[in-house]
Order: sequence, then structure tokens, then C-alpha cells
Amino acid sequence: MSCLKNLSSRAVHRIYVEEDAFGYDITRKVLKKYSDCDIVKINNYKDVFNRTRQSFSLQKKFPQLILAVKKDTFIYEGSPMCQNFGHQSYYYATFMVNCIFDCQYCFLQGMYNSSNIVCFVNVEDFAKEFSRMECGSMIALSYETDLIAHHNIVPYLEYIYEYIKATENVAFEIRTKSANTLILSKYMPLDNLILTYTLTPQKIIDSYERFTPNLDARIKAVNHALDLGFKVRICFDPIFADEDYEEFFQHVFEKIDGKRINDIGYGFFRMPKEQYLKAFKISDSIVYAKDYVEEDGVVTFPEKMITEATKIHMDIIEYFVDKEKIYIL
Amino acid sequence: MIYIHTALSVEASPIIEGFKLKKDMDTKEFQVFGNEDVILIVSGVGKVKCAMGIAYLFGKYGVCEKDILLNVGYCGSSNLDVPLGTLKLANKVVDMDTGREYFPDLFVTGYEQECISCFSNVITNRKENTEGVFVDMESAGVMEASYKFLYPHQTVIVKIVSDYMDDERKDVLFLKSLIDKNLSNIEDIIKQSRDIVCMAQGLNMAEEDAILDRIRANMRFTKGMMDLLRPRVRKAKIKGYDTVSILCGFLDSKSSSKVERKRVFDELLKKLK
Repeated sequence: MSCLKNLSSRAVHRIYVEEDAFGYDITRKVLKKYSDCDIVKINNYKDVFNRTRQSFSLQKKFPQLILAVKKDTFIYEGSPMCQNFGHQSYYYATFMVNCIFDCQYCFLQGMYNSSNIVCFVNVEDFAKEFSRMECGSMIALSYETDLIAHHNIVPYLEYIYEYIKATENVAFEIRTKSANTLILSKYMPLDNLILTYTLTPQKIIDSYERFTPNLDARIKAVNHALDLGFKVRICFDPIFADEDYEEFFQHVFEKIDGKRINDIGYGFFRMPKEQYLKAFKISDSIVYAKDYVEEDGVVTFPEKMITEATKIHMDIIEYFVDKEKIYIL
Repeated sequence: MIYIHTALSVEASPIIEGFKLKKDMDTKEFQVFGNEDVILIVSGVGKVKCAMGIAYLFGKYGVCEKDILLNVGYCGSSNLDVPLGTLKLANKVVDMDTGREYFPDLFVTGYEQECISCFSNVITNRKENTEGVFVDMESAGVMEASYKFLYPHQTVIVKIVSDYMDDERKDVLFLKSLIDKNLSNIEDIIKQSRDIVCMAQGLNMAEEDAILDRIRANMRFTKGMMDLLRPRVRKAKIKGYDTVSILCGFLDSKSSSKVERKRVFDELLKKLK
């Protein structure tokens, strides 16, 4: 009767549902799918999510879902530490908070008390805000989560695709590490929808990106999306300046035609100092024990290391991808 | 340590016998029983006495991230189809006086999980407005104390159905038998909880902390110095350094002046870099 045995599959075993969330279609769909789960009715998701002392790592091992109705802000201004890929303004929408993957370097590590996954079910309220965004802006839809990785749990794309299609003057980015190629086949590519795949060397995946697909599976997913006609962005972010990337870049562009890529995002590990300290407290990962420096409240690699690594990396990347398509942060 | 809380002696006695607990004769304020792994307190009925009892235990015996708090007690059921003696684990507790909701992080499996409505007085009306069908008088007090001292995965509320919220008085032997029959389940819940708590443990810094305390005493390091030093030691350990050996190399150092203290401190930081 050991729970370790029963829960080892990391399947969702409990779903907290806000009283107001029961009336939404997403909720009905999720509860139908997980009919054997323990369902707990709650007044406000913050009563569960914001409890003061929670074990982030234990909750990662035993994921629990929280279905809630987002009440106030639906779209937020993007952090200056993120890339805007040439768009006038950069925003993000949080349909979900937290992620089934466990990337040790992720800013979510120090962001919230809980690693339980919150899913906001009132997609229509988010969509109303889409239409109010200024022309030429970009909205990241996978900012505090990985929507495609969660598609089998909560199929958000089913609900937001038509809204994305209708909001032609705004670009939408869905960033993922998922190798799920099946879901894309259900949708037509859109001019204003960019699928961003984060690629990292297998060594980094093995060391820091628990539960994520391997590099070759992700590369296969990239090529599948390209074959279907989707705009694809590749993200080499975060880069660890103390690791070797040369072989990795060669490998990626041997398998992916750089000319078919919409653009590239490239950035080194960086984290606001407060968040870094919080993450260091709860994580035993070597990611937080590296020799970083702090500049203007941001913890990152020393500038000299970044400059040297960037030069080496760009010599390879620029061979395969046009320079103007590469966004460096 | 496994802390067990019960409100009544009748709830406690089968556990005391089952776990072979001995009475702590030094404790006068509450009835406390224990052995090297388990400490049990009988607090009296109601959430206030319960929270007080648990706080007393934690104050007296100390509490850390490896400990588990188990509340074992009777609950009433408004559903007559639930057999008496059925064991339930609380996945939610509602304080019916304040409306406040509490959520233990319950990862123990193999048992039915329910919401428990906690009242301040005995409920004898099955039509009473409750959330769910199970009622008790302590769970909100357990959770209030738990939220203060523990992570939510360290607390398990174990309820055994003893009545159908009626006036019928139950025989003491019958009540004891309800706990007795669930003793092996309680043991299993404790075992599972132990495994879960172990999984939540981070890097063990106990040895380093003990040596650091000795170095601090010898060198008279300030609090500010220690606040800088502890994360450095942890970082070095994550990097794979033999931190115990590094720290042991400083055990013989003694502070003779501020200059010497600063010199040793800098040397220690250098070794950890």
C-alpha cells in the first residue's frame, strides 16, 4: 500500500476546484477525464496555493491540479529580462501557473510557494483582453507554464485557437519543450502564431530538465511543426556559459534547416537576485551553486564569460541562420 | 518524531497499548505518553484545547521538518450508509465557526479522503449545515497548529466514524474497538508519512551546522558573518566539496583579536570558493 509505488507515475491524483469554476467547460472536461481523482472543492485557489510553508519539491513529485477562475488581471507586461523579438510591446497571459516539467533553472523555482499546477478555466475572459491589445504587440501564452506539455491534461489550444485566429494584429507565442507532435496536426498554421521550441544539449537536459523529452525528440517535433507550415522559433535559452555548446549547435542545425526557422532566441542564465536567493534556499541543484555575479539586481554569468561564449556560439549559429533572425539578450 | 494527538483517553488507549507507550510522569499540564519514536498527547475536546496541546508538545519536545503530526479521533457521519469504524483521511478541514478552510498536503494513499467539518459543540442534528458528511471537534485546531509549525504534508488527520450524529451513548469498549481495529491502518499511515517526509528532505547539512557552531563559538564570528558563511558552505557542498573536512581544519582556530577573526573568516571563505 505504499504511496510511493502508487504515486510514482506522477499522474495527477488530486484536483482542487474553486466553487465558481464548476460551471466552465474546461472544468467539466478535466473532471470527466480524471473521474477517479480525489476532487476537493475550495472557495479560493489562493487558500491552497498561497499557504506559507509548502514543499515545492515534494509537490513536484506528486502533482496536484487547481482549477480556478482568474478574477482580475489577465494580461501582464513582460519582464525586461525576456526577449520581445522585435515587437513593439511584449505581454504574457497566465492561463496556467507552474509546470509538469521540473527544470531546475526555471524562474518558477523561486516564484511561488507551491508547485501545484493552477489552471484558469475562464479562457473567454482572457480572450476579451486579446482584442484590446495594441497592434504589433506579442503575447506569450506559455509564460509560466508549458501549454503544449499540458495539452493532455488541459487542452487549452482547443479553447484559444479561434481567439488567436481572430486577433490577427497581435502575435502569439507558445513556448514548449514538449515533443508532442500529434496535437499540432489538428490545427492550421496561423500567421500570428509562433511555436517556440526550447532546445538544450542532452547533458543539460539530463542534469537540469527533469521529466522533459530528450533533445532528438524535440528536434523531431520542430521538424514536424515546420513540415505542417507553422512558424517556428528556436530558443537557446538559458545558455550556461560554463558548458560546451559547439557540438550541440552543430547537431541541431544538421537536423534542422536553419533557413526554415522564423527566428532564434539566445540568452544566458539570468535571474533576479531575490528570486535566485529563494530558489537557492529550496533547491540543491548545482544550477544555483555556480559562480555567478550580480549586476543591477540580476544574477548571471560574468560578462567576460558571456562575451567569449557568445562569440564562439554565434560563429556556428550565424553559419546556419541569418544574423538578423537572431535575437540576443 | 511521530506526534500523535487525540482528544480523548478512549481514543488514545488502544494506541498507547499498540505502540507500547509509557506515560511521561514529568508532564502535568496534559497526559503525554511516548517511546523513542512516538509521542502522544491527550488534549481534551475542542479545537482550542487541541491547538494548545499540540503547541505545548512542539514547545516541549521541539519540531523539525522530519516530524509527522497525526490527529487520531472519532468523527460523526450524517450518512447512515458509512459503517461505524470506517477510517477517513481529511483532505480538507472547514472551521464551521469561522468558515476558514485548511488543506493538509495529503499524499498518503489507500484510504478514503474526505472533507471534515469542525464544530465547537456536539452536533446531534444530521440536517446541520455541514460541508460534506463528516464532523468532528478538533481538526481545525490541528490544522491551525500545523500551519504554524509544519509543512502541510507533515500533518495527517485520521478520523474514524463513531456515530451518526445522534444522541445514542456508545459503550467505551465499543469505542476502543473502533480504534483497535484500525491500528494496523494507523501504522501503515505512519509508515507512508515517514516515506513522504523523507522524500521532502533536502541536502543534509546537520554535520556541517554542528561544526560551524563550534567554529563560531571558538572564533566569536558575528551573526552577519554566519549569515554569509552558511550559504557558502551549502553551495560548496552542492558543488561536491568535502565541506566537513574543510570546516574541521578550522576547529582548532581561536579568536585572539578582531584582526585574527577576520583573517580566519576570509581564509575559510577562500577554501569554500
